Amino acid sequence: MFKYVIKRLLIAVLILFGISVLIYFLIRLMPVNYIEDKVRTQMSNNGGISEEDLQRMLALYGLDDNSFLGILKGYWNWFTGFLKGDLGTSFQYNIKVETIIKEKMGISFGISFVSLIIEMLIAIPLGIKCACNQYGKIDYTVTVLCMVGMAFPSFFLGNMFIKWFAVDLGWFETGGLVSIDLPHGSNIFVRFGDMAWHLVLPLFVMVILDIGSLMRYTRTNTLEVLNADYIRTARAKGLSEGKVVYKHVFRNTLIPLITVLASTLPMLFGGAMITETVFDIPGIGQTAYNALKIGDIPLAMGYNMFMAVLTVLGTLLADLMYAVVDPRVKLAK
Amino acid sequence: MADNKTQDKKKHYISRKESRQIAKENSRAIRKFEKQKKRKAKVEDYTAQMNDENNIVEFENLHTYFFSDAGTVKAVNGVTFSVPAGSTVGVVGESGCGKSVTSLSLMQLVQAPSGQIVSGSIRFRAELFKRDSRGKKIPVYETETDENGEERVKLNSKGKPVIKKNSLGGNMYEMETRVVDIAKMPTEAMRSIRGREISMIFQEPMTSLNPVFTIGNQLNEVGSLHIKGLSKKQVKARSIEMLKLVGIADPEGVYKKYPHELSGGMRQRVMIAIALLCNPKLIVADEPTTALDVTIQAQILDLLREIKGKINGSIMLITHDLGVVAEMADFVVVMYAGKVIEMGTAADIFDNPLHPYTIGLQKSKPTVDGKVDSLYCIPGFVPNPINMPDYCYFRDRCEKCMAKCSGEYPELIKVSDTHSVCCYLYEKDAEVKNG
Amino acid sequence: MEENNKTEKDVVPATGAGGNFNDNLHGENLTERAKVLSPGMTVLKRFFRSKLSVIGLVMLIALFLFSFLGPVFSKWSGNGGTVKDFDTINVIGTYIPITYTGADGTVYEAYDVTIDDKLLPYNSLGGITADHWMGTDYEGNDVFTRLMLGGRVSLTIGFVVIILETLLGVLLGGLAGYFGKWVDQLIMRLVDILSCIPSLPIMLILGAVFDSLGIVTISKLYYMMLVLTLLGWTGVARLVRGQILTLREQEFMLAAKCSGLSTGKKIFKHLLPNIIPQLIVFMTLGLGSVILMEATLGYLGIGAPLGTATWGNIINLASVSRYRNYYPNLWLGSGICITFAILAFNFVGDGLRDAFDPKMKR
Repeated sequence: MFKYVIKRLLIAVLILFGISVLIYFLIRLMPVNYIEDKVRTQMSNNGGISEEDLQRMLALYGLDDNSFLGILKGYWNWFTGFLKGDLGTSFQYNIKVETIIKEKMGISFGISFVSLIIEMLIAIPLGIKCACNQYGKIDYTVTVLCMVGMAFPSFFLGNMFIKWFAVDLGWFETGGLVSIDLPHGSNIFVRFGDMAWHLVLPLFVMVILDIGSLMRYTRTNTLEVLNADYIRTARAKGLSEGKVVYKHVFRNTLIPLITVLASTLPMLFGGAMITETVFDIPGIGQTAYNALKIGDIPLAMGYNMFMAVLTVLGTLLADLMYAVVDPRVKLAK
Repeated sequence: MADNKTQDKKKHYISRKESRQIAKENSRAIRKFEKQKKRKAKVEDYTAQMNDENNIVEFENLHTYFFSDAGTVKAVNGVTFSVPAGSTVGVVGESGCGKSVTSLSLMQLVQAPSGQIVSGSIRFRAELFKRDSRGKKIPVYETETDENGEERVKLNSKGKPVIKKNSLGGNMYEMETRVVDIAKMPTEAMRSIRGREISMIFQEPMTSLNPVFTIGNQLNEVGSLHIKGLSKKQVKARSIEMLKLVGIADPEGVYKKYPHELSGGMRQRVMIAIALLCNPKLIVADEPTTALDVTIQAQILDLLREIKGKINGSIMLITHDLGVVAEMADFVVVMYAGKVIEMGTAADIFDNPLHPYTIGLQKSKPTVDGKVDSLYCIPGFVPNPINMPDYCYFRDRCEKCMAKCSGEYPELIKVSDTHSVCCYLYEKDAEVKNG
Repeated sequence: MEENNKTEKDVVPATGAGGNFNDNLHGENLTERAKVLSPGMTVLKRFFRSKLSVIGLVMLIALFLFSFLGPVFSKWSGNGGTVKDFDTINVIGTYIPITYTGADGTVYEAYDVTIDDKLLPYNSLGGITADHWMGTDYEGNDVFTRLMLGGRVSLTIGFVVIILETLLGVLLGGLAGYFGKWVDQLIMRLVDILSCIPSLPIMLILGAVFDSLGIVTISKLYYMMLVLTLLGWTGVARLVRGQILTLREQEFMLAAKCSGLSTGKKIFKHLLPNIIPQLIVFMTLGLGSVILMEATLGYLGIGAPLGTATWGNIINLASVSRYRNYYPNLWLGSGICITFAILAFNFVGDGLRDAFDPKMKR
């Protein structure tokens, strides 16, 4: 087990290295150069900064040399920093990237976590129910609804919701996390309630989009288990249908389900970029989107690496969870 | 001829219209039977009367169908036989003849929703819990004689009545012996019979145990479900006792193991232990040794015979292996294409087989002494189960086929008190005997 | 079904001791007993038995007709604001004809028209009328026509990308699975890397890179398809490699080896046909996700070149709050089309998967 984990981690390091090289070179190819933009704006405003000053500024940030070697040097600087646990300072916010990620992650995690819990609470029992009534009316209805939900693009659903429920009906807020007219110094409950109010629509969107795949996955796996011989044995013992389904079937369905849940790790911490952008939620997804758009290299790099690490960890976690839940699996390799 | 063939071929495809029709009829039939199984019924609704008081199970004209998309498969098509108390009945036949489905029907475990018991009855002499007006079980209390010599209910230290213990150490309830018709029983009521009165051993020990629970967990489940009033410790003790009974050398160790850590033979022993846990009156063993190698087979059969004596129950043994039947069974039922074609005592069937199919089966058995060039093979195939002909199903394969065989399906003819056969060849014998 | 009885009676003599007994002995007459369908027919039959897959197919056909045939019947050209719609201009004042001679010597005749300058010179953001079923956009283009034209581009992108993806994936996955060893290691690590990269950020970066390289015309579309392909082939590669690894161990491959087949023949005649069902399912389901990706990029404004009608570019309008709040007619249709397309591909893909799966009973 230990050996297996070590081996997997080594491969993960290799993968992460590859990803970092690829992303860094791509980002450096980007034309949008935040520093250059900023300096030029200042130049036009007061005319005090010369072209040489601009070059000096770029050199300061290590962005002056756009040849292959220059980029390589830049990568080396980033890489040594990364090894020391330093992701650099964001051009845009002038704060350490780690700090930004840590700060913004909380909001994204909160939203994703709540939506995941809602999804699981609805999708898993529903999936089992559908499997138990395969080809029944409930099964068909739920399947069709789930597939419709899965087919919606997040931005389309999000904007439709905003248009109808926020703009036309005025039930919810169009975006953001805090109302402008919230009195300063309101107590925590009022503020929490206000935030929850803002999050109703984004949560709805996230649940609708993701619930389908979880439900269908549960259904497929439950169906497979329901046909197993040991379920017949359980029935032959005289167990009630509830006990058969929720003890014998469910424990077996859980095995593949855990894997899927472990692989949602990047989504859980990394935020839903588009949903956050649509609803103007200052989570990590939106922050990263802006950083990528304006060319905040350290932040963009930091975010991408963060996502890559999460993905790698998610896969590893899924495999390990397999071994925990399924007594047959031994990670011997 | 070629034209004819293509035409024939075409006729075998199911057209869209037919397919839709089948689906519609199937769903109607399935809904009807599922509703019946889910209904709430009083005990009186499914109480029946045994034909012979010595029997523990009587199948009468049982029909179990599978409503498939290609049409209705009549897996069990009018089966009648009985299991006398304390005996072993072997049901033999080739694969797909409906023997397994017969046994699953007895447990109400036919793969639903497509498989349903359509008609007929399965009468079983059950020990049922007596229920009071609210549907609760009525406990039997421990009594003691007080100073005045009068009997009164014994109270424990808390002043609550003490419930009498039964032979398994659980609470004793008032019981009644009642003959029930399993074919008409709702599933809810069937559950208290499964595992307690009738238990089943399946063909595939490799897949019949739940891979994610320990052996102990799977044994305890039965104990805590059917023997009320046992403490956790007592349940565990009972489980380990059962493991010991089925000849497992290290019961405590096996108790903690997962199924995948045991061999096939061991798993089958565990299955038998689960089956025995509540001292059932009938054990249905569905090809219990097919998936095992020969030495283990012998051991398992010995074990089955041994425990039958211990629990004083009956065994219904389903197998395609004539050797196993010869070794184990008191009575033999031969099935073919969903029907019983011959039945009698083991001696009847083995020494004096009557039906051409049984004779064929006997002939196709390899023997050690007789020198045979090649093993006998019954020609042809079992007819397509979807469109059974209305004449004798064995006609096209039968060497002794007569003109009459193209008529109606022959009735079961009693040749002697114990021996009956389903073939026109013996019609005269029976007439002579009866007349 | 019911005829079967009759058939048997026709074939087998009704009396006597089974006349063609020997014929039946070892299954020569199997076709008469079992209903044998060719594998392709079985799949088709099972596919059409499922209501959802038929609905999906109908939806797809409708979408294709809408996108590829629809614009032919439209009197507007929806693309790039080239043809303006003059019929609702508020013309005030009078026409003043002018003639002048151009640089090449040709004499031009023109009219000086004064119009209400509160309105743009064409039917900008026009409402829903009999002529414009979904109104017109800011440039005065007919939204409905643009929607149909957008479908052409979006669906084409979907098909091209998925086909390229599959070809690349089959090639690399096949190499990895068949040759194993270092080839496998190299390709699979590449797959790992690519599948760990979040694709949206990469597309954002690349979108910007294209802009900087001056790729803004139609060729941007090709580059975009290329990038989508390069990011998307990993799934196919994994699938193919896994399948080949299992198939390679099976007896029929040993048999193929024993009969002295060449490597190429082994791969193309024995391995590929075995993975085609999965590939077809993968491609159908993948089409939906490629269309979604195109739409997402369009929404974020980094997709197809601006002005080109694609579903993604049309729904981009929803990101402008003015259009989102007050002109839903501009973007609602495109969103519905995207959802429809994804749903249809999913229905068909699911239906195909079930139809191909021999374990499925229905």
